[in-house]
Amino acid sequence: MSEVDMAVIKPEMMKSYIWLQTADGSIQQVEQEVAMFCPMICHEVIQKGMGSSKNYAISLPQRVNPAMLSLILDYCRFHQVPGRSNKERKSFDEKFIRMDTKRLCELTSAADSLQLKPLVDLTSRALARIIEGKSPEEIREIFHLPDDLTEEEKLEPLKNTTDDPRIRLLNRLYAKKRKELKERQKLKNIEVEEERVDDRSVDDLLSFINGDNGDSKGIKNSKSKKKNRRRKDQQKNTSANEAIKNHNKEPNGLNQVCCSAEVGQTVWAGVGATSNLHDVEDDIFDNKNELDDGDIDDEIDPALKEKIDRYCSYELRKSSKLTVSNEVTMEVEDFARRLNSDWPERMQEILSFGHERKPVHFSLNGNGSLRRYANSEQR
Amino acid sequence: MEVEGEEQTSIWNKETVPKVMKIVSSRLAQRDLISLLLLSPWIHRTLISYPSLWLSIDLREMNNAGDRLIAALSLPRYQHVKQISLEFSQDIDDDHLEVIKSKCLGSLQDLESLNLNGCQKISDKGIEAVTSCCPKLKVFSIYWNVRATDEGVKHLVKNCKYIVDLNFSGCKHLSDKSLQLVADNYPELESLNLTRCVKMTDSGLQQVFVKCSFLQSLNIYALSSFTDEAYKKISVLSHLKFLDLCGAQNLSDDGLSCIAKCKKLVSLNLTWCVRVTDVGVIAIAESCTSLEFLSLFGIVGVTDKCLEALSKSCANTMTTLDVNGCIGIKRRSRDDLLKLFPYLRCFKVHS
Repeated sequence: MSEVDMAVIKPEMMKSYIWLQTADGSIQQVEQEVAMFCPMICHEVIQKGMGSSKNYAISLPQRVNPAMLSLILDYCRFHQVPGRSNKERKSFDEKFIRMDTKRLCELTSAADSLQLKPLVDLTSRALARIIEGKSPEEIREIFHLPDDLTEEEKLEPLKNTTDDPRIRLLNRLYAKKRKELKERQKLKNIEVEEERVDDRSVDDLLSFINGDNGDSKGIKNSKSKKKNRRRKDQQKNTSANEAIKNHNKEPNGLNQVCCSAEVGQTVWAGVGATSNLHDVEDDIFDNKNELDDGDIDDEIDPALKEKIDRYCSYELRKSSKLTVSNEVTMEVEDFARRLNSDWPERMQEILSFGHERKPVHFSLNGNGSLRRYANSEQR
Repeated sequence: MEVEGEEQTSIWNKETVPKVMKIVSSRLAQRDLISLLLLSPWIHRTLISYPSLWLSIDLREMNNAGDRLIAALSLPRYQHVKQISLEFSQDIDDDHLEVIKSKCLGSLQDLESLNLNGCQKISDKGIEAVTSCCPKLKVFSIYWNVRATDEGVKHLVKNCKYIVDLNFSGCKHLSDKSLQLVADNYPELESLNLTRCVKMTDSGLQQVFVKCSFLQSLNIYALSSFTDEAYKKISVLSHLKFLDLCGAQNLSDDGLSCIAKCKKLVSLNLTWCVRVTDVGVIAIAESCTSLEFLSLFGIVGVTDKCLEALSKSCANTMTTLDVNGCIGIKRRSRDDLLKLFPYLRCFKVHS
């Protein structure tokens, strides 16, 4: 018997189904109450009368592939049952989101296209927890994103007809980046996938440690380097390239080039370079001297502006990881000593100040307090 | 097949991930948001196009804060920034603020909250410079700045007419003059912190009480020179919810009984208010029935009587009670206290 016949004979036996079609063309039927839990599907059914049969299957957005649809329907199937307790739902949710990050990402995207807000909230909360406190390199790896400069352009030098110092700066960065990528490519060809991952984490660790020490070193060095600013461009170019060969810390490298290109006349006190990048640093100082202030913005083309923006962002972001520690006492003591104050008195003040809000500002990672110490000594 | 794979990857990078990052971005702190910007040009483009994400500049505890701030303010996405925090950051001084005044004037027009806590190099000059750029400022905090004087406050009140939250904690050179300026210019003030502003006296404080009748939060911690003259006047602050009188050694039961008229009090710190006895505390108990936080640390003149009175009226609301060192109270173990105040979670405020 056909489906339709069955429906006529025993209507109460027939559950209602909604027909859904995913972008790959496959069609499936889903229990009505489950499917209708998704606002987008609900809308299609009620407003447009779609989904009642195979021929009128609702076309789901492209982001909802069969795998994602299956997950989403599992979610809906559980939650659309009215009798469940909050505890049950929470427990289900916690188990539900246990999947690799890439899938979580796909799922967020799919749920969003179906306007299933509770699931979007659940997944995005989980993703936020994953992203929190991580460096861009780490995040890129987790989400399988390529290194942007390889994809975006071939790192071709930009035409610099006006001899704009910022374009000169960017071209130098590209040259540096090209070299780095070439080296990494070499490593990739030699070593196995896994080992490359290890390399990265060592890299991260190095930059984490050196980034902190580098700052203090950098301040000292940049100050002394200021005296030697007047060097020829040519010389610097080659020496910068030389320096780059030895340098293998990508995040720090870009951190150091701060985008003072847009900063008018202020003195860039501590570019936190490692000793290898002094020359590039000097370039920046030189460039700054030639920059006009303020209204050059209008002359830059948007793509360039975007790049500059991105490098500025490197500077707005600390390279080290932030963790909240509970060892306030030690931190407070360090801090107070540094400020030459009476520490018990200060401690009392700080603790009372802190009782309104947590004294988070005193706690960085372990290196954080050391770093501050180092800086003050440099002054 | 390969072409399809490439296309898939391309969609992943250029559409899927940026969209997901946008969804997640509302849950992330500023620093994480900036990390996202650095991931790929498409994520960058997507996030930049949502101005609501870029209303806060967080440079807390960073070095080179002055330069970083200037760099940030010259970026188009921060043109409407509402909140800037430089709390305990380093390397920011008056010069940076002067540069901001001359070059980045436009970016601060929407600024509502400025936190300069611990920026010890900033003086009146810097305060003048920065406040002249942000007419809409509502929250101004300059904790622990010993260079700020009444002159700086003069500039503040001249430039910023809408302040509702002021933190002068630790600015030990501010005097009654500043209080006069505040009283005359900020009738809508809601929150005021004068911790350790030791030059201030009763008369300055009274000015504030009389003219800033909407105060909800008042912190006069570690100011032992005030007397009942001023304390009694606190009674006119009918909206007061938070009051920190730690160290008010001159506060008598009389004064405290007047303060009891602030019925909406939720949080009261009487640590080291050594002249207070049961009389004052019972007055509070009978009037302030929504009290959630109370410290009687170090007061030897209070006994179990006052706890009973408090329990009668605030048993349901009290969650923090510090009676350490109150040797007049015989039954003050954790269990004793829980019997009187079943919702108590915190037993120690002061150390």
